[in-house]
Order: sequence, then structure tokens, then C-alpha cells
Amino acid sequence: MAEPILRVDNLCCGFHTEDGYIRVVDGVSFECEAGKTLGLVGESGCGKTVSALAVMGLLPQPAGVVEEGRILFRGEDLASTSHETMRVVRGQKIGMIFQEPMTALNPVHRVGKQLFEALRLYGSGRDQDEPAVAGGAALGRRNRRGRRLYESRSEKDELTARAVEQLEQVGIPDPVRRLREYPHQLSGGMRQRVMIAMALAGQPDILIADEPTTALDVTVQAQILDLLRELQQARGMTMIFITHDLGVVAEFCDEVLVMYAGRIAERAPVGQLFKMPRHPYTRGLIESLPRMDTPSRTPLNTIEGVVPKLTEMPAGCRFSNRCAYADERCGREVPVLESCAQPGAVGEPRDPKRSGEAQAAEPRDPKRSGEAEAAEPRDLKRSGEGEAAEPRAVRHEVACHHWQRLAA
Amino acid sequence: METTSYFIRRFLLIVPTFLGITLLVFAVTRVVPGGPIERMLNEALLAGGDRGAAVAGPQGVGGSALSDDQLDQLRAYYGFDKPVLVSYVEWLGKVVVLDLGRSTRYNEPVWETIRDRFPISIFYGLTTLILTYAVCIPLGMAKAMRHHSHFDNVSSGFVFFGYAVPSYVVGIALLTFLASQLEWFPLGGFVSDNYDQLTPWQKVVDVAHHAVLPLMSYMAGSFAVTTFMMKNSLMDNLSADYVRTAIAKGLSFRQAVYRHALRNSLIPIATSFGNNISLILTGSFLIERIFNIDGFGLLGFESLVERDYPVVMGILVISSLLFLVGNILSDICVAIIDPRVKFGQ
Ligand SMILES: Nc1ncnc2c1ncn2[C@@H]1O[C@H](COP(=O)(O)OP(=O)(O)O)[C@@H](O)[C@H]1O
Ligand SMILES: Nc1ncnc2c1ncn2[C@@H]1O[C@H](COP(=O)(O)OP(=O)(O)O)[C@@H](O)[C@H]1O
Ligand code: SF4
Ligand SMILES: [Mg+2]
Ligand SMILES: [Mg+2]
Repeated sequence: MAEPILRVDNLCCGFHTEDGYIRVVDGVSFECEAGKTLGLVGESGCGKTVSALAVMGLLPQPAGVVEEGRILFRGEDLASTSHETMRVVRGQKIGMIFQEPMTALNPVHRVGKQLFEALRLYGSGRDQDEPAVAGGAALGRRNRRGRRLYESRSEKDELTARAVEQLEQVGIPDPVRRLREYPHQLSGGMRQRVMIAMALAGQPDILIADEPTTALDVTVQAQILDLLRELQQARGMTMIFITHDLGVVAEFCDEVLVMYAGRIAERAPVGQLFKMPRHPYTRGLIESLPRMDTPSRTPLNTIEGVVPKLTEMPAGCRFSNRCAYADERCGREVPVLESCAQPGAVGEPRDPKRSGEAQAAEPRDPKRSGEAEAAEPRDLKRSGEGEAAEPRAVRHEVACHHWQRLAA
Repeated sequence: METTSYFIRRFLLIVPTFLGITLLVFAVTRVVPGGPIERMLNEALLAGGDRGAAVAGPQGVGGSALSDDQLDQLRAYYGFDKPVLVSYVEWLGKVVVLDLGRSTRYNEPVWETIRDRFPISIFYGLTTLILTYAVCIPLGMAKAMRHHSHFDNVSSGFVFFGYAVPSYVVGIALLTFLASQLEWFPLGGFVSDNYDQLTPWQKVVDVAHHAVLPLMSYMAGSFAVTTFMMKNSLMDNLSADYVRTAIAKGLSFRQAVYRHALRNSLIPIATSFGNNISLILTGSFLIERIFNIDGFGLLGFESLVERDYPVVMGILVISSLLFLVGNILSDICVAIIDPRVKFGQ
């Protein structure tokens, strides 16, 4: 298998608070394969955002700390690299969109100004053939009268043209007018589109989307999800998709990382996760989803109890106060992530055609969306059909002492 | 174009605000000596004999320092003999052309008495204002960006000390040590006695030399408020989502502060600007008294003591108008900083 584009290794981070230091992410490890989508799920407060911010080097300072762990982007450790390197990584290697589009844009600057700022930062890297009219370094200079050089007509026009193109790509109607508007004049969905346009302006290799639709209403949510999917397919972009919505995970992700209280509970390819969840928490989450094939008005299953406070976590498994399978060992011993793939289980559950076919021309197979996608992840009963021509071991790991009991 | 229409609307608002302020001030004129209130007290006194004198108190009619002649002048100026509305309109007509009556103490038009104090008051007011903002904004920023550092803690100590000690105490302390004992600075006044014989450069130095101690006393109080307002406001904005977005784009922390957080954090500063203008221009009579400065504050204080009511009322009118102007300036500043204001959010 190719070297993953991003590998996070035993990430531990936390915050200095008035009550002392609190670790909120405890030994999280994962890899992102180029061109794929990794889903990060778990209930609110389990450390999804903090993990993502740690990758971006954006933990609130000085309270937030990455205690240990490595964040390897193309082999370089972002946790220990220089500020200068991080500034290039942010925006141009890894882009991020946030949960709250209402507050993520600066209220006192026009949309255009905020977008231009990003474009200027990234220079003219987009078209190598083009003369570097808007080259980043040249733009910072000022001429003798103290006016910035980019104010000159042609460069401003060039920036506007590029910004308009960015806004068109994310489906914003009348982009020229939008550039002149302030964030408060846009609806939530439009603001999130602007955020996406801004995050993609630097042509990042990885896009981290932190619950990008949670703050939006349902119809707008679907539009934004479709937009993200289209953009990802068109650009062959790697994505980390953070959500608490398993429905979205099923539709969107290739691989899933289930987090509980700052630790990884289970990781699996998306089909595998829905087909045979191994962790009691994951199973609870899936069983609490409303299903089409159960008689109507059956009460939904929910997971009993609540997540303990970070300061009052059980010593062993953090799920033990809510787990039906918990025993004395669970309260004592922290379960480690171990493989639970069935021996001989093969196949890539999502995108079966890909591994077989030569994927020369296009980074992503556009035909895919038609057949495989609609039926596949939702139809949880579907078993081993559509196995890839070139078999590949399923990577399925779980952190539970008694996962075999669930498997039985 | 939204900006222009906002400013036009804002300027039109001046008219009703001006009328409101003058109405309030006019209401006050009804209680000055010779006015209806005093007449009522007078009648009560005549009817009740000695008992009334106690009610009226030492400031009352019994001890009135005004001659009948002066009282007549007051009555004529405020139109006590006419219906309220008529006398308000007439009085307003006089105020608009700066006819504020005659000072009973100096026996000259009130406007001229006040006008003579303007240069000194404006000099101290504007210098204090400019220095306060020039020091407090950068200081607040530095404190916010180095929150809980050594620098932040030590400077907080000094700022709080200046805030806790009343400004006149600061004035007296400075005068005692730096002027009286060490003789580094003059003991008071606006300029030296030989000012007229100095060269232009020496004049500048002379004024500055006299201004150091009073300016320090003026600033001691407003300093803490503005510094901490700036610090807290910037700290709030540093943790705002849009700053995180800016850094996620690839900006450095400093760039995110200067290009994004700073402007947002100036909004509360701009909002309080109007208040500061009028407060500072009208001065502090205690500081003016300590340093023997002939400004607005001292004039108001002396007029009150000497019962020079036309001057007291004149100062009230002028400082109300300054308040009005200050608020307009403040609104303009806020509108320039924050686009949401112009769009009526
Ligand atoms: N600035 C902060 N200071 C202290 N604790 C924080 C801070 N930000 C987040 N946390 C804590 O970290 C935990 C994980 O938060 P987060 O990653 O935002 O959760 P989510 O999975 O919902 O994104 C939460 O318990 C939260 O209370
Ligand atoms: N202050 C404003 N100025 C101009 N247009 C606005 C303003 N506020 C909202 N709008 C526009 O009104 C429409 C409805 O906005 P809003 O009611 O906020 O939508 P939502 O249904 O998401 O709450 C949007 O198209 C938005 O662009
Ligand atoms: S280790 Fe497994 S069985 Fe034990 S409490 Fe945790 S989730 Fe439940
Ligand atoms: Mg979150
Ligand atoms: Mg809304």
C-alpha cells in the first residue's frame, strides 16, 4: 500500500485550565490515504475538533498543548516543525472548514477582501504557465506613495477574476456582487460556501471538514454535502470528515474512526463498520439510527447514561460505566486497539471497481456515483459481493476487551 | 453609498437630540434663583415665618447673595414672566446665537468669559485625549498578546495604582515631589510670567514644561479604563473563530492580529470615545485648581461658589453640546469600523 499522506501517531493533547491540566485527546492514531475520505465520528465533546486543530497547529494558545505524538504529513512531523513551515502547510497543504459559518468569517471585512487575502498568500501557484502577475512576494511591497502595488488595476482585476472563479466553483450565484458584500449579508449556507472556496483556494492536498453542515438547516446540509463530494471527486482530494452523524458517514466516507471520550474505540472501512460493528459503543450508535425496515413507531435504541466528565473518567475503559458487557477487568485495564478482522476477510467495501481498474486518467471514477454508492453503504445487509479483483485485507481494529462476544 | 446615507441619517438626528438637550437644560433654568422654585420658597418663607428658613437652608433665600438688580436680569433673560413655551423658544433663539446672558461676577457676556477659557481647555483636553489613546491602545494590545506574562502583570500593577488613587491626589503628589521639592517642573499656571519675551521655540518648551504634571494627573484615571478595555476587547477577539480562520488560511499570528482582530477590538473603544471627548474637554476643576490652570473646570467651580448662575448655565449648555458632538464623532468612528452598523443590524 502507498505511504499514507497523513499519519497521526499516538496524539495526546489537552488544555491548561483553572482546575489544572486536562488531557482531552488520549493516544489517537490514524492514517489518511491519498484521495480517500476518513470519517471521524463520536458524540459531541469526544475530541474530534481538538484532534483536527492539533493537526493544523491551531489549538488555542497558550492553553492548548500537544503533549506527545507525531503528526506526519508526507513524512514531515508537523508537531515539531517550524512556524514558517506550518504557515505553508496551513491553507496550501491542509485546508480546514469549520462548524460555525456564522462566526468563521471576519464581520468587518468584505467577502472579497477575505478571499483576496488568501489568494494573495498563495500567489499564482495555480497556473505555472501564466506569468506570475500576482506573485505573493511582489504584492506585499509598496510603491513610493505607500499604496500597495496590488491596488493597480490589472492585479486587482486578476484577483477578482480568480475570486469569482473560486466562488463559482462552490456554486455561489452572482459572485461579483457577493465579493462586495459583508458576511452578515449572506445566509449560513452561502457563508459556508465562501468558507469552502477559501479553504480550497490554496489547492490543499487534504481538506479537514469539521462538522461543516451541523449549523445549517437540512436542505442546505444536503447541498453542501453534495458540493463537497463533487469538489473532492473533481480534485482527487483527501478528506477528513468530522461529524456526529452516522448517516453522513455512510454516504461520505471510505474509512471511519469512531472516537469515544478522547480515545479511538474502533476503526474500520465504512461497509465493514456498519456490517459488523465490534465495539459496544459503535453498535449502540448504529442501533440508535432510525431504520427503514423496522416497523414504524418502534422506540429507537439509545445508549444509556452519559459520558463522564473528563476529570471523572473510569480508570480502565472509558465506556465502562455505560457498557452492557463491562466487567471488572474493563474498569481496571485500558483496552488497546487490536485487529478484529475476520481471518480471510478481504475486499474493499467501498468503491470496488477502483482497485481493479487502471486509474490512469482521472483521479476518481465518476461512474462510481451512479451505481455503487446509492445502494451500498445504506444497504447494511449486503455481504461480501462486489469483492475487488485484487483482494486486500480488511483493516478493522477495535479497543475492547470483549469484542469477541459481540462478534459471536 | 450605504455609508453616505448612513451619515446623512445620523446628521439629521442631531436636530431632535439638540432640542432634547436644550429642553433638559431649560428645565434646569427654572430652579435658578429668581425662578419659579425660588419664588415658591420665598412665599413659603413669608407665610411660615422662621420655620421656613430652616427648610430653605443656608443656600436659600435668606442668604441670597444676588442683588435685586441681578435677579431682575436673570428673570428677563430666562423669561420667567412669560409662558413656559414662549420663554423656551425665546431662550433657544438666544442660545443659538451664543447669547448666554451676562456674567454677574465679571459683568461681561457669558460667551466671552467661556470663550477665553477655550484655548487652555482644548489644549489640555485634546492633548490628554491623544496621549491617552496613543498610549492605552498599544499598551492594551501588548498586554493582550502577552497575557499573564511578566510585562502584563507589572504594567497592570502600575495601571491599577493610577486608577485606585484619585487624580487630584496624584496631582498633589506630583506637585509636592517633582515641582516643589525637586523643582523639575513649575508649580503651576499655563505659561511662565516672562512668556511674552520668549522665542517661538522657547514658548513651545515653556507650555510643554508646564503641561507635564497636569497631563499626568488627567491621564491617571482614564488610563486604566481605556487600557483594560483595549486589552479585554482584543483578547476576546483573539479567541474568535474568524482569527482561527485567518490563521488556518496561512497567516501568521501577528498578521491575524493586525489585519483581523485589531479592527474588531476597536469597536468598544470607538463607542466610548464620545463620552471621553466631552468629559476631558470640560476638565476637572480639582486638577485645574491644584495647578492653577484657568480652564473650564475651574471656571465652573468658581461660578458655582460665587453664584454666577448665567455662567454655570452657559457651561451646562456648552458641555451638553460637546456631549452631542462627541457622540456624533463616536458614532461615525463606530460606523467606519463596523459595517454592520451602516446596514442597520
Ligand atoms: N479551549 C478549551 N479549553 C478547555 N477545554 C477545551 C477547550 N476546547 C475544547 N475543550 C474540551 O475538549 C474536549 C473535546 O472538545 P472537542 O474536540 O471540541 O469536541 P468535539 O468532538 O465535539 O469536536 C471537550 O471536553 C471540551 O470541553
Ligand atoms: N442584513 C442583511 N442584509 C442583506 N441581506 C440579508 C441580510 N440578512 C439576511 N439577508 C439575506 O436574506 C436571506 C434570508 O436570510 P436568513 O433569514 O438569515 O436565512 P435563514 O433562513 O438561513 O435564517 C438570505 O439570502 C440573506 O442573504
Ligand atoms: S472494554 Fe469493551 S466490554 Fe469493557 S467496558 Fe469497554 S467497551 Fe465495554
Ligand atoms: Mg467539534
Ligand atoms: Mg438563519
